[in-house]
Amino acid sequence: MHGEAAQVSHVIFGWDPFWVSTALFAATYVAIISDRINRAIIAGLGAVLMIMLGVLSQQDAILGVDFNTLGLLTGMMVIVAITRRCGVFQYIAIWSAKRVQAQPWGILLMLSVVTAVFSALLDNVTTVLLLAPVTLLITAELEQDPFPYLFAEIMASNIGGAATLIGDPPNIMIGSAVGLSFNDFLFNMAPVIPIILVVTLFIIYLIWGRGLHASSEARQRIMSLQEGEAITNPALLIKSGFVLALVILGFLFAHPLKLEPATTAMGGAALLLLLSNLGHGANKQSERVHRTFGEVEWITIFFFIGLFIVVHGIERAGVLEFLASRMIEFTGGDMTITALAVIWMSAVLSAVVDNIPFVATMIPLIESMAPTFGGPEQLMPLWWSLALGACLGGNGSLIGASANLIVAGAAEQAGHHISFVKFTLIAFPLMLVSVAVASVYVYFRYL
Amino acid sequence: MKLENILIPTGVATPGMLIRDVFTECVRAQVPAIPFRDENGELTGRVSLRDTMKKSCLPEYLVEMAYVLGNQLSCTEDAEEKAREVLCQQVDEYVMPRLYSLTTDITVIKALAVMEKHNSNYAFIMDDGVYKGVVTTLAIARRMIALDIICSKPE
Repeated sequence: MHGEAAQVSHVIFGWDPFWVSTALFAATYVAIISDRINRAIIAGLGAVLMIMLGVLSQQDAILGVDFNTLGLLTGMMVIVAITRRCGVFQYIAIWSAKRVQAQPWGILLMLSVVTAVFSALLDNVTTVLLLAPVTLLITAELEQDPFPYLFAEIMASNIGGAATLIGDPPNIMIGSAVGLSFNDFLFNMAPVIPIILVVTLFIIYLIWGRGLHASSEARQRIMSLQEGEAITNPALLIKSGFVLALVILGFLFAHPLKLEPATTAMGGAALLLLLSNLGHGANKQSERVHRTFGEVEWITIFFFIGLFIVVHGIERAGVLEFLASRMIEFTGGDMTITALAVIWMSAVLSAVVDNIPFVATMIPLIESMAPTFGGPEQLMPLWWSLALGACLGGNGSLIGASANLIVAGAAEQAGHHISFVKFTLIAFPLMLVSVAVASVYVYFRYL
Repeated sequence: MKLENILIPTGVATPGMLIRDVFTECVRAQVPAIPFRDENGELTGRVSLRDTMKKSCLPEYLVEMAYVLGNQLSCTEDAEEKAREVLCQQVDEYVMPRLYSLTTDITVIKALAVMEKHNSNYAFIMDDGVYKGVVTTLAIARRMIALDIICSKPE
């Protein structure tokens, strides 16, 4: 079963690479789930041990790192780090609250839609990081419990992020590994996302919407907020908007332009860095570039690097091939059952473990099913099932996605504790509803 | 310019003291903070005007949204009541960790460098474990002006 892998590896003491890599992978996963040590440290240690114990050579390990994913993530992080400084996110959030005359349900609806759209076009973590303070301010002034509003934003951020290639890390990873473009995600994922968002918001309305009321004095306080003051640097707003539009166009026309997403994102990042530093002296430029790079989430980047290597280790040792064959045995090699198993398993597991390591593991596992289903091109239903399951599954619990934890942290700082149990009791069934809608979509469109 | 000529002697905060009394001492001595002495007589922390106001009145989201705040805010509708609520609290939960303290024999430039390192505009001075006072950037500036230096106008 895994004799060939054992022959090409040089694991210390002649141990079987299958079991060494499995043990390392399991230990890495357990350590990530336990959340006692920073995840970038754990992934880094796991990766180094894969090499030091002889499962992989250093060259093999580097081959396992998907630089397209890293480039896309880093490029978008730089663009977002610069763009957020001009205050446009806060401006739009407050503007939209005023558009509905500061009616509580209208605000919840508008903030959710704004969150979903920003999450699709940027990334959901940054979106909630910027919108949570606005929400806390608005709910404090409306004298409302912020929980329904923050809850709706968390749901919207993970749903909206599922719509595009760049919206959520699982999509970036799947897109990069399979060679799916921005347009592929737009044509295949985006159609079902508005439906899921509407269904989710309707349920939220049934739970809280009818009970949301605010006095006219409280609403007047919202109407007195000065959203124009949020735009602290109009010139930067124009530059950021220009570059962001170029990047989106680059993603849309990636195929005729023969551009990988990482090239587009890194190109946009370099251009925005250039535009935002024009007119400053060399020292000032260094200081500003240093500050921007400091805002890149290096923990996430190094987490990815380590994970890619750990997963590459079990892939090379034949573990994923073994698991794939067991899964096909379980589903009887039937595409419909396999796709539905992937979407539901992805959703439930992504609710309880970080969806990034899960998707990193699932990608090579699904790739190794290609011979059973008649080639890589036949696997598309499985890729869309994985993307939908992993992104929507993030809504299943408070620890299901980074965005959820960021909102909970912001609420905690403002004195509003969001309990894991309270959140999960409402979020998990809602997530199941959204996955049911996604399953129906996958079934009728691809199976 | 010696540090001992610049430092400002102040009282210290103690367990159970009211915020009002700490603020009174800071305003009297014109310093942004005073040290905190625990039940064992050790200087274990500090109470600053800025940190106390931030902790009692400024949740993070208000700071984040500072530019857009309008003139009608729920928290400003009864400012006097809020002030009373803050001032009448005990100081204990507003004690911040102790900063690096200086001695009277160091140079003013070192004092400034240490303050800069801590992103602060004050530092506590202690000799042999005995609290002497606070040095502030304002006090250093006051001392510089007192030198009565005459500046010639640039041509």
